[in-house]
Formats: sequence, C-alpha cells, structure tokens
Amino acid sequence: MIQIENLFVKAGERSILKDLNLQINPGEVHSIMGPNGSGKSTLFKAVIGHPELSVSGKILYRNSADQQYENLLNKSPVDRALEGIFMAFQHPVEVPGVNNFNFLHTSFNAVCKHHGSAEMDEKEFLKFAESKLDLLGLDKKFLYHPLNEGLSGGEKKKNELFQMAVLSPTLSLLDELDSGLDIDSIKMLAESLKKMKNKQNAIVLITHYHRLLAEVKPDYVHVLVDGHIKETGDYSLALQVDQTGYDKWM
Amino acid sequence: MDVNIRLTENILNWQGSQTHLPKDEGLFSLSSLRNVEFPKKFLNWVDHTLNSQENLVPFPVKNSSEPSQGVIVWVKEKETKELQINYHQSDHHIESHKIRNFFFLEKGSSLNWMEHFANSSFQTENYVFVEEGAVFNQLTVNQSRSSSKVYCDLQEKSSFFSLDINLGSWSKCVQIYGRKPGNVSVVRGLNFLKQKDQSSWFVLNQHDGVSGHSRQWYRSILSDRSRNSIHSKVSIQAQETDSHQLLQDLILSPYAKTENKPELEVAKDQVKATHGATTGTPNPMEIFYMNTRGISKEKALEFLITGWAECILSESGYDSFNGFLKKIAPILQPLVKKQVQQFHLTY
Repeated sequence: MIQIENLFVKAGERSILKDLNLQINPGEVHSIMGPNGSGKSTLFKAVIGHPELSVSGKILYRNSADQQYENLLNKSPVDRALEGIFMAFQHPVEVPGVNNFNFLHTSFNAVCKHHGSAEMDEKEFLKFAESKLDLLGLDKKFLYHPLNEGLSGGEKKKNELFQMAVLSPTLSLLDELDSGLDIDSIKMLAESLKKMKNKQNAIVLITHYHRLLAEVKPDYVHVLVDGHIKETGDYSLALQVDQTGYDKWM
Repeated sequence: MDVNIRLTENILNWQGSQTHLPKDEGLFSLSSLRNVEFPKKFLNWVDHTLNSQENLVPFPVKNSSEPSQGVIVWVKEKETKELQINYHQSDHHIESHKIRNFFFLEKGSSLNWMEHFANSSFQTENYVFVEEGAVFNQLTVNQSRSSSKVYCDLQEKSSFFSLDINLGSWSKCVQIYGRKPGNVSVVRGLNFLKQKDQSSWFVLNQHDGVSGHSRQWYRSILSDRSRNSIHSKVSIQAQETDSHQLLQDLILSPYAKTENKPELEVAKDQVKATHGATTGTPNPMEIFYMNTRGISKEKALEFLITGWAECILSESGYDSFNGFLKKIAPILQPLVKKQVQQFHLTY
C-alpha cells in the first residue's frame, strides 16, 4: 500500500528524518514507538503533506492493488486525503464556528465524488453518521459541536476516531490517539479499531503506552530513534520497550 | 415640539404589503406626536435627550434638514411587540433620507425591533427609553450606504440587546446609558466589508447604575481595499459593574485596513472589566486540518469565514430573529465566496 524510500525530512534547518524506509501492506497494523523528538509525528506529517516540512525521497502509495504506485510528494494534502490517507492528530486544531456535521458531510462527499460514488444528501448522511456514532458508542453531541472547539483532550481524540469511522480511509495514521483517554475509552478505541480493520486497509499507530497495543496486537512494531528505524519486530518488541525503555537504541 | 411629518410608503415599507401604520397597536408617525397623549415622562425625556450634550451626533435639530419621517413605538406596561421595518427607496434621485424613531418601553414590556437598510442612503436615529424590567431587542442589517444611530436610556433592571450586521458601508453610533442599578446591555456587531466599503463604528457604554452588566463583541471581515474603524468605549461610573469588550478583525487582503480602539474608563472600584482587540489572517493550520480531510483550500476558507461570522450570529440568542437571519443567509454566502476567490493563501 505504501512504500517509503530514503525519506529525508527537515523542519526549517533541522533534520528530523534521515534516510527512513518503511513498507506497509493492506490488512496490516503497524506501531511506531520511540522517545520524544525521534520523528514519529513528523513521519506522519510528511505522509499527509504538511506545508511546513521540506521532504525528499519517495513516498509511493496506492489505495488498491489494481492501481499503479504514485509518489505522494507530487500530490497536495487534499489529494492525499481523497486517495484515502487519514491522520488522526495528536493535537487536533479547534475551528470555531464550523459545525462538525457540515464539515464531515462536505469531507465525506468530497471523497465520494473523487471515487465516482454517489454523494449523500443531508438526511442520508445524518443517518450514516449516527450509525457510526452508535458503532463507537459516542454521544450524538459530536455531530453538531463546533469542530473540536472547547472539547477536552480525550473528546478531541474521540472526534478524530469518529471522523476516521465516517471516512473509512485506506491508510490510517493515528498519532497518540490513546493519550488523554481514560482506561474505558482506550478499550473502546481498541475495539473500534478492530471493527474498522479489514484486509483492504492498514493502520499505523504511534503510542507511548502498552495498553492500546495489548488490545490491538500490531503485526509489526518499529522503534524509531533519531530519525531512523532502528529495529522492527512483532508485538514482543513493544513488550520489550515497555520493560526496558529506549536506552538500547540511543 | 414642532415636528413636520410626511410618512412615505416608498421609504417606510412595513412588513409584508402593509402600508398603513397600525395606530391602535402603539405605532404612531411623528406627526401624531402632538395629537396623542403620550405620558409626560416620555415627552420630557424626548425633549431632554434631543437637546442633551450627551447626544453625540444628532442631526441638526432646528433647521431645514431635521428628520421629518419616522415612527414612535409605545409599548405599554407588560406588553410584547415585534416589528420589522425595511428602509427601501424606489426613487433613486433622492440622495439621502433622514429618519428619526422613538421607542418607549414601559415597565416589564419587551420589543423586538428589526430594521433592514435595503438600498440607497439613509440616516436614521433610534431613541430608546427602557423602563424598569423592560427589554429592547434590536437587529439591524445594512446592505446600503447608511448612517445609523441608537441612543438608549436604561432604567433599573432593564435590558438592551443589539445585533448589527453590516454588508455595505455605514457609519454607526451606539450610545447606551445604564442609568439605574442592575441594567444589562449586550451589543454585538458583524462587518462584512468588500471592495471599497467603509465602516465606522462608535460605541459608548456608560455605567451609571451599580451592578450593571455589559458585553460588546464586534467581528469584522475585510477584503479588497475595505476600511474599518471601531471605537468602542466603556465608561464605568458605578460599583459592581461587570463589563467585557472584544473587537476582532479577520483580514483577507493586504490592501484592507482596520483601526480599532477598545477603550475602558474605570472611575470606581469593585468592578470587573476586560477589553481587547485582535487582528489576524486566517489560520493556515485550520485550513490544513480541513485539507487533510479532503476539503479544498477554497471550501476550507469558506468554512472559516462563515464559521467566524456565525459565532456572532449563533450567540445572538434571539429566537425571534432566527427567521430574519435565515433570510440574510443567501446574501452572505455569495459574499463569502467572493471573498474566498480574492484571498490568496500565503502557503
């Protein structure tokens, strides 16, 4: 689904990712772990096309097996999103006055239009969005709330999860979606991810905590230190990190 | 009081096709000022106010350009009224109209007053006297070039709520005097400025009665070569006043210009007061966030501008104005789209 080759990323004059390589296939769940400032969030931002990063290398992506790989660096953030790449932000911005429902409805229809599928009118979309809220066990207040405005940290994360459920992305990049969530909410998050996971999509998680990984059980765990992936392993690597920290790779 | 009256249907086009003022419901043209037995207190107040030095920018009172048109709205004790007026001029040869309205709200009454400056050039003055426990709600929408003034006297535990929406060029003056204890005033304004529109706002909110409560919140969206100036002053002359004031601008063009002056004068202790002003361009990170959900830059900006404006509208809290606000929504949308087209994102 996505092949990242020789990726170098700078923020201003500071080099953050240095010759990073990573491959993710449909149906896989990956976890990226690493100390603060190692470049985990920057990797996600580079994939979605953050305007403040300078990126070189290749990020090859296709959202289905019958398509050709294309280098995302030639595409705008909007096009990347329309192609099925979704990032749940660690700190989602607040957009006062913009109603969540209108925002998501517009977003959903933009994706539908891009893929040539039928758009939904307000009534249809309301029913669809409410079914997603029910699936996640979320309050209907999310629908008409101004976009992230005044929500607690945990509520913002739930709203990101809700958006993910509505948009059904091919590649989901979840940046510390579990931080700020209480224990019950982490369980809800894990259950939701399990429900959303299928053979056509892939999920990449950044997390500092073992709790979410214990529930989701990723197929691959990567340790990212100083802009490099230092080690890749299975779920047992996450257990090792949980017990010993990152000293071994520093 | 010698007032010469001529009420013209062209100018005062009342709600729907109604062409006659319903005199038996407390509405009178200025000509009836001498013929109707208004309470002495109101007549004294009119006389005092028009000649008062507090009355900052009145039309010349005793010369040929004195306003000769307008209405008197008398809302009797515990009554509730709702009135809508469209200032519409069919004769475009007339350069400007001067209109003066008076509002007398007796104890415990309430009035919802909606006025719409549809075209041409108007100069209006609204003089409002709000007795104990009465509530005056005002919604003004300007789509033309107009000059408008509100002068309000608030008595004990009375309230003044105002929402001004400017979609053209105007000069607006709001004077609120909280004379007695426990009065409340909430003033909100929204400016949509484009091309060479110019908006000038002067607001004075004076707290003379203790335990007064006031809020002032103005938002302006400027594109092209538009100009904006808001001078908003809160003068606190009484204890236990609670007052907040905020002036905010969203700038969409490097050629637009704004000058805001939030002013606060505190002459007593034991008060709570804030004032401030902000000016900025749309937040690129908010636009980027929406981009990552497949929403184009143009649509994202449209969301931002509309959302920014709707914060003011949604908090107006006047249910009775909702229908009127829905009517202006189709006017706002093309304006927003035009502003978006002319705005170039900086990244």
